[in-house]
Amino acid sequence: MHKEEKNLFFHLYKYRLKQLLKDRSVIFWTAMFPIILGTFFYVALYHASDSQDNSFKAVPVAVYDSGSYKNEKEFQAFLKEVTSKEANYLKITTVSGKSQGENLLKKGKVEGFITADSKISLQVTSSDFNTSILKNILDHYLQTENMYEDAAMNHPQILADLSGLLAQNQNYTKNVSFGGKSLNNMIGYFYSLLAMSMLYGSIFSFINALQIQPGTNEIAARRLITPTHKMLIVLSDFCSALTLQMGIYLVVMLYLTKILGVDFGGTPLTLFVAGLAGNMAGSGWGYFVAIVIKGSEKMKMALNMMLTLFSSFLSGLMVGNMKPLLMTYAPWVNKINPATLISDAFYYICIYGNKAEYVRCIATLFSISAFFCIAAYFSLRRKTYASI
Amino acid sequence: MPVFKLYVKLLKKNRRSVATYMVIFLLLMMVFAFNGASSQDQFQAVKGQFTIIDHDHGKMSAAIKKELSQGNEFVAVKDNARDIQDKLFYRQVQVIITIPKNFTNDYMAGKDVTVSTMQVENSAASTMMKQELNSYLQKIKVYEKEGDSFTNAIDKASANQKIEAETSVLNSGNKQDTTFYYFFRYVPYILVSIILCGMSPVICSLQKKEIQKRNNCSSYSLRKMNLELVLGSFAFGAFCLVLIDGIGIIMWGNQASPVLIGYVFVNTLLQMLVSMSIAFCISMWLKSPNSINGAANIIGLGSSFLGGIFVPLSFLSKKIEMIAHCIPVYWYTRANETFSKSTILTASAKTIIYQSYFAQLLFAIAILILALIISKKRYSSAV
Repeated sequence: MHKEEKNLFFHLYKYRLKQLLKDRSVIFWTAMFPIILGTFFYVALYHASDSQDNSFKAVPVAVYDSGSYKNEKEFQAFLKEVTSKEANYLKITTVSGKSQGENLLKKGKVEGFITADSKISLQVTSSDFNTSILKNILDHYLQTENMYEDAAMNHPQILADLSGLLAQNQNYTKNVSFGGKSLNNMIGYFYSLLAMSMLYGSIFSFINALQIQPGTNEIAARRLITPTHKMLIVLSDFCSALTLQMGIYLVVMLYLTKILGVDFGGTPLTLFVAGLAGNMAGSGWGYFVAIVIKGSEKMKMALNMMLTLFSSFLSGLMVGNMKPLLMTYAPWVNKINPATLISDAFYYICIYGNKAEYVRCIATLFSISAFFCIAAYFSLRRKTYASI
Repeated sequence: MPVFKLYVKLLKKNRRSVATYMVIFLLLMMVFAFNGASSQDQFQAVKGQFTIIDHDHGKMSAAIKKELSQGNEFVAVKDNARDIQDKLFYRQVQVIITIPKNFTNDYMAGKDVTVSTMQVENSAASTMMKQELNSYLQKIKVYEKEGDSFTNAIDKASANQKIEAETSVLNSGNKQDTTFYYFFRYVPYILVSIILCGMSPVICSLQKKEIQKRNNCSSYSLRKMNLELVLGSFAFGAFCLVLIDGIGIIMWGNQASPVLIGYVFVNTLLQMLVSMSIAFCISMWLKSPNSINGAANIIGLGSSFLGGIFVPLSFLSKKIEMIAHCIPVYWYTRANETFSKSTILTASAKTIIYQSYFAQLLFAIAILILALIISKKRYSSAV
């Protein structure tokens, strides 16, 4: 690039940036969108992960205190053990009638109703995690009872030792760490939000792209009437949009990390590079939609917004398990979807420090950006206008 | 009704962009519904997901896998860090069990043996599976002590693990969620997004200063103009509502009784009125389509997260739920959750539903009044 071209480039870059900055409403909404939604996520979700992990709480259950239950001394002792402070698996309410127990169950006061008439049985109103635990506990009792009966019948010599053997509680499992930084698993929503905000930033390049197509835009007609090389205009436009996007990204990141205190993990450099790659993909995306796709301005705008939203949806912004679902049924979608690639870049470097995967995501994002820009360039080049 | 006619004309002119919004949002809605649906008639224990990385390839590892698979779901995981990290982070498995080399031989030789487990922190499912594993291995040991051979001990321990307590489901009028209710759970997000994106460009173009000044010169009063604009917006909202409700009822209507379908329809109708009022208000307030898109995202996504659409209300803390009372979507979700949990609507369920209807109606009226005040102010400033 010659010195004159360089000067011209910076001149165009500066004035394009000024022009974009003047559209306050677009800047406001583009920056406010991740800030407001990030605040919502923080308030509603950031501290909600404990309940999602199904942390265990004693299950409320009713037991029918019938005549046969009174005779089941072992079962009573077992229930006492599982309701003890140390075990705290169950919270028992004893009822004197079956209808009383069923009423408690219907009203949702208890999650299960245990009767021990001819055999031990359980009534529930739904199949969920707590009722499954309840059933497991009863299964365990019946299985142990069966072992005693079997020993009494076939091996009476070890009956005396059996309780000792069963009570040994030898632990055959050893917990090991899987090497990831223990972050709130709701952080995935924040990664998807950042991805969406970067793609949403495509609005700046979208505006730029509309303003270099004289056939549909008056400002474009004025800009392209000059003898300036089209490539120089496009390049300076691209850089100005990217600068603005990066500025918004940095403000959003500072707000989320310093003011809200969201722990993203990773180093400032890795977060910056991920932001740069994501924003470049967003810029390329804006150019692609505005130039390559044919249609009215409104139609293109609608498409740009919808594609951004759809890409973010696939990365798990609205439904958290979307990414693992695609990983199972259509893994290629995760490998090319820009929003997924952005959130994955954060995920791999911030949680697991997995540099190879991080580099793969960043490289794919740069390639996508290049692809979009080249496609837009070929669609734009050598277009001349006899009269505008 | 010239303003109403103009409204329809402008809407027709924007039909392609409106159709784009509709197709993509309806597509999203279908995915939401299929993704969240689960329907169970009999008791089915909730399954934990586990995987085994087997370095032993012996009798014992095969037995462990077979045993745990009885009540849980085995998920295949590649023995590499990336796959393990992904599966645990996204909760696709709760526990990963690594069986070391020579595990079977060491166990038979009477050595102290352990398997390594990696698990989701604080997960009750992983604790349950680990307990099941410990109990199984302990039983094998007990049967061996009783004098059984190793193979017999495995068989007897497996047979013992199959003994289950008789479990029945009591019909309490409660039921599991169905695709029908999952589909309708997402209606507020889709409605507010489609109506905002479809309606706002039309109203915005009528709010342009020059056009407003021209309209103000006419003998047509602001009251009449606004009335026809509201009517036009209602017609567009009703079209969206019929389309969305129609899809839901045609595809999954058989999962609900006609009475419940009626209640669901009223709920969506009220939510449509709320969405229409919001869109009307935003269009009166913001001028450029770009700003409206930004506002649509914040309102649509924000209220869906706080109102219990994307994240169930049970996940929200009490404080946040209190704040959520100020969001119309919360009331829609509250009513929808009541429908989804009941086959017969009890008096208390009906109270919740009517409360929710009333709250939504109040929100719709309040937001519409706000929109008309903004319109009046704009009219005065344009004169």
